[in-house]
Amino acid sequence: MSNAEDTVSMTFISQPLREPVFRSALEALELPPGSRGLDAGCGVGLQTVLLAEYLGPAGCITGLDMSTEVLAHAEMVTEKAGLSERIVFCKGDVSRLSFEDNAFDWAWSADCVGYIPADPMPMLKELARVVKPGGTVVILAWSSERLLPGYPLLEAKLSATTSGLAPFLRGNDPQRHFLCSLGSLHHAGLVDLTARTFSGQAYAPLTEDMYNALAVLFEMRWKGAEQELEEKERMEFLRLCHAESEEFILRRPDYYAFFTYSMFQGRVSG
Amino acid sequence: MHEFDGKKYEQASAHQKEWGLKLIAELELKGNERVLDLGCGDGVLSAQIAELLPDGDVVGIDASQGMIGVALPKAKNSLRFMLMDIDDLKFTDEFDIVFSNAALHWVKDHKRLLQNVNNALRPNGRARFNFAGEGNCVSFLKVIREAMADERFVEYFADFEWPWYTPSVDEYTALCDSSGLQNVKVWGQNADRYFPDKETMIRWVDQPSLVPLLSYFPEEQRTLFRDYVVQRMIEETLQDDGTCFETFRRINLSAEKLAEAIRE
Repeated sequence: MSNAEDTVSMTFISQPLREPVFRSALEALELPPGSRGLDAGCGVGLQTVLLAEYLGPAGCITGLDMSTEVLAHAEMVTEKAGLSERIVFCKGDVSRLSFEDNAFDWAWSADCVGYIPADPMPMLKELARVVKPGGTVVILAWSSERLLPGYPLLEAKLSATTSGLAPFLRGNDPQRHFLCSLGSLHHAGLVDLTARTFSGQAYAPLTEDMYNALAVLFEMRWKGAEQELEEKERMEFLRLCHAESEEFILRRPDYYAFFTYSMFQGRVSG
Repeated sequence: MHEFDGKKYEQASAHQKEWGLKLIAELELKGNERVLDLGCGDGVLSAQIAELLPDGDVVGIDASQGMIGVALPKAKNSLRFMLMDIDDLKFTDEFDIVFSNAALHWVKDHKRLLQNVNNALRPNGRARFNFAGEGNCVSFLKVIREAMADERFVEYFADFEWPWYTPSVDEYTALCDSSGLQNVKVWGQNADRYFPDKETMIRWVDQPSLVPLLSYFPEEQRTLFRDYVVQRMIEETLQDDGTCFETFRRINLSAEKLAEAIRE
């Protein structure tokens, strides 16, 4: 299996966690109905579909991603949602957009700009360029989680490993951390900056899709982390966090987890 | 759509996989066919078919993102998975075999399905289905109907659409005869089962049987409903020797698209 398919698989399975959070973010954003937008780093298009549903029948969206393979899945997701007429996908690089200036009413980027390791500045400048004056540029990304109720020390240690920190370290440059995005948005020339954090949660009894979503999330967050743990913690991790274990934490009758997405938003001046 | 939990589902549906393997063996594949697997779920059977096709390939489709997500890691050059509703099949002259195991009772409009399958097949192509037929899961469906009328649950079923189509052999034969497919054979199959114990039966209720129903309930009501169904199922199916009995009735279709049956 290719890396792209790995990502697609995990995105599909974990979507039940993300979807309600993205819906809350969309409610808060109040994008103009019937507007034209850009989903920068759209992946398999699950958020593109939510955006299109939110905009209503007069809206249209361009989804942009680097991977042809991933976009092929995005086409299927859109087709199944019956939204093919309002969504177009194109292959491209967010830091070198092929769109004209002021082509969109707004641009949205989830788990991409400011979150992937690449320098966010060229991407933000491009988003600011292709959005009309007065339009919104919004970036949002996974920002924190509590997934192991009752085991704060184990979770802290897992999160402090190389792979646990991977989504949040940006070449050790604090200015490039996602939570410092107010600075990057400002440097990109955006004004009226705002920040908001949305939470998602899951608790027992978990529906089947939530169980699977969390199982995949464990893998996404901590794959490879166990090698960095001390023996005692490693045993505890295997006991609590592996689906094959009798004591898999997701089967606990009192399981509770939450996580956050943070959203930074600015307006194109003029 | 119903989102099944692929990881747990693989265990709970061991008997479905067993039937599936028999069905695959019956296909007597030559090794160069192009196969479409309708409702491929976690992709285990699609992968089994692909193993038998050194010069052919398999396309598995399923409408559940969760299931396609579980299936995708099995993908390779000769095995592809697509997120797609069976109702939206749009293939033309593409497959030698359209295969489906334990999925088509989720499809309500089989008239359209059979037409789409006929279109998807190449001349001399074959269709082979096995899905739930009349008399399937008598106890479970009785309990669900009771629950739908129970005052604690009735409001949540207001928008509920019965998700299953389980025809009789006669009904399905008539439908197939008007589909354009040729050499149609439809037959029933009794696969009634004694679950070895209560726990196994309850696992089957939890996964996959209750999945499409739980989404009608708010989170806080799901446990109440689930526990009600489990309790009633124990009452309905528990035998004196500790086993639990439930009916499993399958319907089989084998049909062909003849070369001369192609119309302009």
